[in-house]
This record gives sequence, C-alpha cells and structure tokens, in this order.
Amino acid sequence: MERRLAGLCDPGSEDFHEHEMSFSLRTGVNMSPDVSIKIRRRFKPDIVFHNQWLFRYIGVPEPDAKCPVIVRKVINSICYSQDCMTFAKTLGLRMDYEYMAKGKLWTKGNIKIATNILSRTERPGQYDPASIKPVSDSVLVEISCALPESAEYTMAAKQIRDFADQLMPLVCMEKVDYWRKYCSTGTVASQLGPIPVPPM
Amino acid sequence: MGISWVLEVDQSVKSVERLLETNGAEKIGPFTVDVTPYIPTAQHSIDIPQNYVVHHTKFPQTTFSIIPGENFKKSPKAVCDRGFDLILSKMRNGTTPDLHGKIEISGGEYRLEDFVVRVGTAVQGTTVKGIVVEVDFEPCAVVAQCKELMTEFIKTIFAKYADNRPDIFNSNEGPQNYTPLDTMWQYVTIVSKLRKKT
Repeated sequence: MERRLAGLCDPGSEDFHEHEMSFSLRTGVNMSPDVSIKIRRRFKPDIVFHNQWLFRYIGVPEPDAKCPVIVRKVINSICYSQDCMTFAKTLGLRMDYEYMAKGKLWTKGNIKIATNILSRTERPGQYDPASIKPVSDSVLVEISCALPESAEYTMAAKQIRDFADQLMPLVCMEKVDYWRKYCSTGTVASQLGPIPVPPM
Repeated sequence: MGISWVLEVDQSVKSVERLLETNGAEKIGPFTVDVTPYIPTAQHSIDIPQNYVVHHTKFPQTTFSIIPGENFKKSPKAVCDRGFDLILSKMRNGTTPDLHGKIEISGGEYRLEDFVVRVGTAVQGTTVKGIVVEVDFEPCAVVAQCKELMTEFIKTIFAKYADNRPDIFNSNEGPQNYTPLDTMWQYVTIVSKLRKKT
C-alpha cells in the first residue's frame, strides 16, 4: 500500500501521531448532538507543542447525489490554550469519543492522502502504552482536497475519484452515508475500513 | 513580546494626546480593540458561561477568547487564529454574540522610545463609555523585570492612576512570562466595568 502511494504521490511523506477528540454541542431535543467539533493535538507531545490544538468544524454533507465524493464544509482553527479541556467544556462542548491516529500524510497536487492506523484507550484518560489497544488491523485511508468556500467542486471531486480508483483493489472508495448511521452512536470502530472522504 | 498596562482615564482623548506629544511621543498609526461578549442562549444559561472574544490590531490574525472566572489564572482562555470566530458562529445554538454589548476601543497609537501608548475611545453601539489607555513596553517579557520602570512611566504621565496597578503587577509568584492574553484580560476587566457604567 505504502509503495503504491509512494509511486503515485509527490515525493516525500510526513509521519504523524495525533490524538483526536470529538466534541459536540448538545442543544437539540433530548440533548442530541447537533454541532460536532474535532479537537486534535500531537499525541505524547513534547513541551514545545504541548498546548497547541487544532479545532476543526465539519459540517453536514452537501446533498448532491451525482457527485462521486462527499462534500462537507470544514473550518480549521489553530489554538493555543493551557487548559483546553476546561476551555472546551465552558464553551458547552461535551466529548463523544476519542482515538489516536498514527500514519503518514502524502500529497498529490492539492489532494491530501492520509493513512491512519487507529487505536483507542481502554481506560479513558489514561494513555500509557498498556491501555492503548488498536481498533482493528485495517488502515483508514483519507483522501481529501480543500477548496475555497462555495467554489465549484465537480472537477476536484472527479480528480479524487480518479486517484482513488488507482488504489484499487487495495482500497475501495465508496460513498457511504456513514454519518447517518454512526454519528449518534459515536464509535470510531464502525467507521473503519476504507471509507470515502470528501474534499475538504 | 511586550508588557502592557491598560487603564481607564477620565480626561479627553485630546488632552491625553497633547500630554503624550509634549513628552516627545510620535503618532505611528491607528489601532482598534474590540471585545464581544458571547452570551449563552436561554436554554443553556446554566451550563455555558459568558465568553469574551477579543481582537487587537497588534495581533491582526489572532482571536483571544476568555471566559472570566474569579481571577485570570482560573479563567479558561485560548489564543486562536481567526477561524475560531467562524467556528463560534457555527455554535450559535449554544452561544450567540451579544452585539449590543460589544465595545470597540479605537484611537491612535503613539511611540515614545521603547514605549507604545494607545489612546482610544471606548464605544458601545453609539454611546461613548470612556477613554482607555494602554501603555505597552515592548522590549521586555517578564513583569518582575520592568514593573518599577513602568510604574515610573505611568507616574510621570498619568500620575493619579499609578497606584491602581493591574493584578499581574502585584503578583508575588516570582518571575513569569507575560503573554498577550494578560493584556486581553486587562481589557476584558475594564470593558466589563465600562459596560455597567451609564
């Protein structure tokens, strides 16, 4: 898989190991989550990066049946906070699930390809190697492309589709309505396997 | 870099500017600081506290967010880029900007050797709430190293406010790095006082 990517992508790749927590603002009926915000940081960060966080808002997908990939709105914000957890809590955000992702990031033009091996902790709040267990032995492949807001996305969507097709049969990208099924249960495990990722 | 002392003065902008110019300061440009409170929607009035979002022209790409607690240390706070404003607007079901309560401080920036002094009028909507002065000593980042110097500066120019030092100047916890958040905290404290004033 890695060799295939190395052949297809721009030279060089970047390793990452991050800890992602998914929060949501529960304002709907029955306190159902309606806005979800992902907060990410380097896992086991060294002092320099210890308090640097990435806030990411991911909107609902565009209802476009013809488009071969999922299109969602994304807003990123780099954030520095000494007590990010308290800060998020006072904003009204509550955590749904968390996981650790380790992998490599590749690029091909403006397409971003990330391979993720996911793991999670068995005891929430404890991140020592003993309690961290892999979620499964699959690799989650994210293929995405960022475009300006309200830009025409058909071209980029086709590019992503074409790129993903070259990874067959290792990765089969399908357009699944995964958010409908899994958003509320909030388990990362069910999202595993090669899933399509929209242009961001 | 830079340590700021923010104070509210009860003289006109003109007289402060004249005072600075007679002491040899030069005008270097305009500045704006805006402080917007984000208030929780009715159903969340208990679990979400009020949040202040501050922008400052010295840090044009940055958004500061402070949720005031009893003191600076205990207030959750963060420094973000401007994307954070957009994320906050997505959370409007839980917290909304209180545009009537927004206070904008705008005016001129003066340089007097290593000091930068910002003099601005605080305006809420169309009402003038007061005059705010920020004295920024740029070469230093540790309060303990320069608080005497800054006190002396304030004594020379704004004599009657010299005793009213910001909390961080009175802290005895040993030398600590000063961050722009400390400046924003001073603005938030002053603005919440100004809002109560009629």
